[in-house]
Amino acid sequence: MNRRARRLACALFFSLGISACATSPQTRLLLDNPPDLPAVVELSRVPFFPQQQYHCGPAALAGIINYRGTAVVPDEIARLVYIPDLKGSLQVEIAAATRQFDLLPVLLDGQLESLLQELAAGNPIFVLQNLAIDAYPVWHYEILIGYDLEQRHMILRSGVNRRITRTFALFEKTWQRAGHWALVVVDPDSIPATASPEAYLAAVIDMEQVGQLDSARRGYSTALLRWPDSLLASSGLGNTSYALKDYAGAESAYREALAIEPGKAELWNNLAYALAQLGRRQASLDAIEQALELEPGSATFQESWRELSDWSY
Amino acid sequence: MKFKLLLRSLPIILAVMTVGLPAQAGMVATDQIQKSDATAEVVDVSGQRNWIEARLLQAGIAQPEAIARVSAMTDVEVAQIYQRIDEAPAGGADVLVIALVVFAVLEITGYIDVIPEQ
Repeated sequence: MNRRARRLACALFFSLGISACATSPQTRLLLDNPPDLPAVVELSRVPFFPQQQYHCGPAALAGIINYRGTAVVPDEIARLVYIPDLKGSLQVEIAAATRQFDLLPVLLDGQLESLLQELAAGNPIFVLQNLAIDAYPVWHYEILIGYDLEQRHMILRSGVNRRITRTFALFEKTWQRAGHWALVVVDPDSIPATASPEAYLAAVIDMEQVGQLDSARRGYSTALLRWPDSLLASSGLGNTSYALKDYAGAESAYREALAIEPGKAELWNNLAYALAQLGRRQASLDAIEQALELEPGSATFQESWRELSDWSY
Repeated sequence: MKFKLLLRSLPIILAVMTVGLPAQAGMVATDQIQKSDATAEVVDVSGQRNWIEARLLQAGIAQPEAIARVSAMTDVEVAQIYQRIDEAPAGGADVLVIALVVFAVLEITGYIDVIPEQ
């Protein structure tokens, strides 16, 4: 591509208030320090659903959900995410729809190299792109299915195209204008290659909050296996087990959480309830008294104490 | 005499009342366990959800689906789009409708990528 023409175009568009005309910083870093990853990855088994008009979200998400083992067509996804008068789908509804299939939508960290690591680990990525400019965006969802470090491009399923490529530099720009938003969708027994405990557990907490308790419990359990010191994973495992009436599981998880954070009165409180459900009156009262010892002024724990004292065994 | 009797029986009455509460009433939810202290931001979540449901109905979605879709969102997701549905990115724009001149130039300079390379 002609450097002079590019410079002229940059000058023109700079004057139109378009920023970041010349830089794709993550790409430069990546090419200067190539990661220790296979040179080429392409997840060719990711199914392709050509999009209908405005339905890039449903088409892309259908590809990913099928890849994860559930047969679904774009129209079924469209009922969960498409908004007719916006002619598109919102990111929050994409995440919400994913959860309806017992899959965790895990937000990635916005780093280009992380995308390559996820792909190398076999995880296709659901991405948002702004294919135009900040002032007049053209929002588009695609599936990232691979990359080529020698050719310096990404490989995508996009719209009505089963396979397109886009240079790293250009992909970075279109992705940067979409806030570097990307999801890896996994079942709750797996963790994406680059996910931090915070990012993974955020998705699990969301799963719990919308009432998908079984999936949430699996997610907390998976997280606890990987991050045994996680207070959130052990607490969450306790609470979801309790809600699913697995009181023995709840007791075990709460005790793990207390081993990490013995001063957390809330955990003693919840443990007390699990013990009551298991018919262990004295242990239950001992536990709630621990909570009260830690926070004597708490109305919640005083109320719990009253309720647990009167528990019918 | 009657007055004294009443006072003595009050604790028993109170005890009977608390047993009737659901078991989960006293428990602390997962997202509250890590919060450092009680002062959570007071947000009218159900008001926000009602707004979103109304907006979805207005956008052409049938009521049972609108209700289900709002229920499938977390409180944080609801807050993110509350009153902002029209500004939020809605992936799906019709790429064929884009003004050809401007975007042809941008495409040539490699600044955007509307026309895919195959």
